[in-house]
Amino acid sequence: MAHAVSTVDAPKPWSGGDAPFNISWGKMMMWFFLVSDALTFSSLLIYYGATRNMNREFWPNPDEVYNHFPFVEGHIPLAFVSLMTFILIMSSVTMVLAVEAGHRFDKKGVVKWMIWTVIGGFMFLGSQAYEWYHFIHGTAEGKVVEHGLGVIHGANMVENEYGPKQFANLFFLITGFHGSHVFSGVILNILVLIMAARGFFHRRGHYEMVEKVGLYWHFVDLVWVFVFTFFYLI
Amino acid sequence: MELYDNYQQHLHSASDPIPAPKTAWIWKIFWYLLAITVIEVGLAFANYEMHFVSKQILKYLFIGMTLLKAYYIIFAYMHLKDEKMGFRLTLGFLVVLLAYFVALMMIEGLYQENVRLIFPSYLISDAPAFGL
Repeated sequence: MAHAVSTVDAPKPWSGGDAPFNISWGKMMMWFFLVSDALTFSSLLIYYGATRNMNREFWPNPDEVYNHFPFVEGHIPLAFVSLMTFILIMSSVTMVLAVEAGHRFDKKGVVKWMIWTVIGGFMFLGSQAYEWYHFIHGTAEGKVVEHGLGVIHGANMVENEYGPKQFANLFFLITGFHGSHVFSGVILNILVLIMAARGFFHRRGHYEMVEKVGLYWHFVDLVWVFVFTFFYLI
Repeated sequence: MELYDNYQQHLHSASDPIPAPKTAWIWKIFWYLLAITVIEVGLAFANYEMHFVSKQILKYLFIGMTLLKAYYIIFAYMHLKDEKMGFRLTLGFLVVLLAYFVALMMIEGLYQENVRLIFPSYLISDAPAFGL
């Protein structure tokens, strides 16, 4: 009776009524949303790479474009974006600490770490505003353009002093799209913070909403890791 | 909401005692991420000042370190290592598509550059901008 033995050990197929992959519905849908969002960001970054390959001799060195630092005269390449990366990694850590506190049903811990996460998000948005301000206003020298319009400073959607038109346009598009993700992430974090502080999750019996928002927030951090590499390092 | 509550492994009640936090692994991953970022920025800065290695080699090094960081964020911070293998593979299939797409578009970019260099009149706009 070989088949009788094998049916005992055979894994049961999923027949509905329970969670597939043993993951809750909300978390799974958040993962699928993040996958589709990852495709959007990937296509933008891949187009950046292809455009850069098309125009290698005109493409500016990012170390010479993004070299401002607040309250410092002169040029320091990479310092400010490294600070931004540090801020976002740090707020990712506080987010995962909030999720960990939620697993332990520790309301005070969740509220404390969510507050730090929100602060980190606002700090990052402020840094990005500074970055955009200096990118748009540019250097004092500017660049002389050939077709009779004189000197251009900084960047707009039509021309810029750094390099090809697409360089500035892709900067605005990709960091702007990422910034809007950070902004909506901060809004979600604030909502979850308010709900946690008012004891909503405590009454519900679990803190899964913190995990779902945490997934989104880590994804935003993940995208920044790639934007940082492709825009500022390479 | 109640429908999905039974997927939770353990529902707490308000009277349960709060266990002590176990955060050592979180900070360990944080130091990894910070160390990788510091190495990346240090290499980029040193190469900007001294040019000791070709930018092409550095580029692949940076991409490798970025993927390492992505691994730590996804598997540790997003808890993907705690999910079932089937779910991981479902999401991981994306990476296969993306790797193909990246190779495709980078090669296409270099081809377009060749076209532009060989046939300059291919460009409609003036100057080194390319209003393709």
